[in-house]
Amino acid sequence: MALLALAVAYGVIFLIDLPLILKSTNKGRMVVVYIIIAAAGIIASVLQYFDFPLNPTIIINSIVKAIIPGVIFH
Amino acid sequence: MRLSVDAPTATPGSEVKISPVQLSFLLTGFLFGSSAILNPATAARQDAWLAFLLGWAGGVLLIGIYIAITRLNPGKTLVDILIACFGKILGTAFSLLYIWYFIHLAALIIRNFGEYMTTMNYPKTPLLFLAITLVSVSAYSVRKGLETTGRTSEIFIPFLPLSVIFLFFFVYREFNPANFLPVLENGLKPVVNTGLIIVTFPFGQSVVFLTLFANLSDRKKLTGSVIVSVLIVGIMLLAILARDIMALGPDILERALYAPDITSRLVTYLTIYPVISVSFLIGGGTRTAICIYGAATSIARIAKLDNYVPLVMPISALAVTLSIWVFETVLEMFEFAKEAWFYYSLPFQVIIPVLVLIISFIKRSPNTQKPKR
Repeated sequence: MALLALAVAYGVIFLIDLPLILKSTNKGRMVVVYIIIAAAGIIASVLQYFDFPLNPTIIINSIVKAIIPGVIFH
Repeated sequence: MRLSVDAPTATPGSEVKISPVQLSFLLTGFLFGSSAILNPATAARQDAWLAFLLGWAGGVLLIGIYIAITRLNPGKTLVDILIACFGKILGTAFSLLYIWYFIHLAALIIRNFGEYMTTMNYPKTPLLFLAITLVSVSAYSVRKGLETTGRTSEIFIPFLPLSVIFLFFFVYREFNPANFLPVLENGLKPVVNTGLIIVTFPFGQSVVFLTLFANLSDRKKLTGSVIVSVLIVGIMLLAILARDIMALGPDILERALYAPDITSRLVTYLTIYPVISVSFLIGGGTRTAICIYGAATSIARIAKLDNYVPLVMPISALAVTLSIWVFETVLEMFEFAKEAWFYYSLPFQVIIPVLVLIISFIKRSPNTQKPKR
């Protein structure tokens, strides 16, 4: 149900933006960029919905810890 | 509207100009934003004011670097500057990192706002709803153009210093100046460490303004507008810190999640805590709008699109999703702000801009020194 709501939300956003995309002089490129950003949002939503253990904060904390060993995260 | 003569090419959104006053208001709202509620200086306990002064001085220096970069690259946005300095491949790679940083920053601001609202004002309202509410307003403002965001800030941002003055005088009965003592009880180290964090939060975050400095209608007034903002914000945040130290004392100040809110609740004869929420709403909305604008215009620039507006909604949706995903709890959010934020921000706020400044100096040629009129 939540995923359906997500799909509907992105569908509505796309419909709002569609007139502007069609007005753009480089429609093809605009659609590709739009789909990439929307896909990133959808993937992030799905990962968050299924409680995927790796999130950006954990990745950033791990990188910082790896580069600066003295840093301690609780 | 005519493009500026020395603009390298038509940058999406570059045809829109903002006045120096609007830039000042936007920067004031941006810097004040979350810091009104979450000030990392509180970690230095009664020496928070000293740590803030140190961070403020560092912040002025850092923002001076951003101004120098803009002056050496007139009419260019962040993406143009990065590509001009590092070449197409490395410059694009750095630009993509900055786009991530802006979206991530927007997500963190949205989460801060949502957590504050659910903790203090709307405990039964879902975080997602509050996040969508804030982003909807910011996204609408960005879709209407930078000028609209600037004009909105002219109406709302003057409320911020007024709210600080208003609260200061209502809480003065609770002040105990002895709370400032003893000075440097734990030595200089915590003060310096906290000062460094303040350089990156909030001052260093203004790196996002490199995407809109090019939109200033009168470039000669760039330094003046920015300095005025940084001075006003510094005085406001220092006043807030002094107020909280004197009213709450170092122990409560260090432990409190939202110290200004607790201070405002000390006034028993008047309900003034909503003023804090309104300030946060204005500042948070401005911050979110600027981050989304920075990300959208940078993506449009890299992809050579003629319009950034259609990208605003999907970027906003991504920021909302990230805001929910990035932290499990509010304590995790505070931990990230205290421990990792400084190191994570360092490349974006200090290392890359310093490299850009050095390369811009080296590459400086007569036609970039003196724009054609």
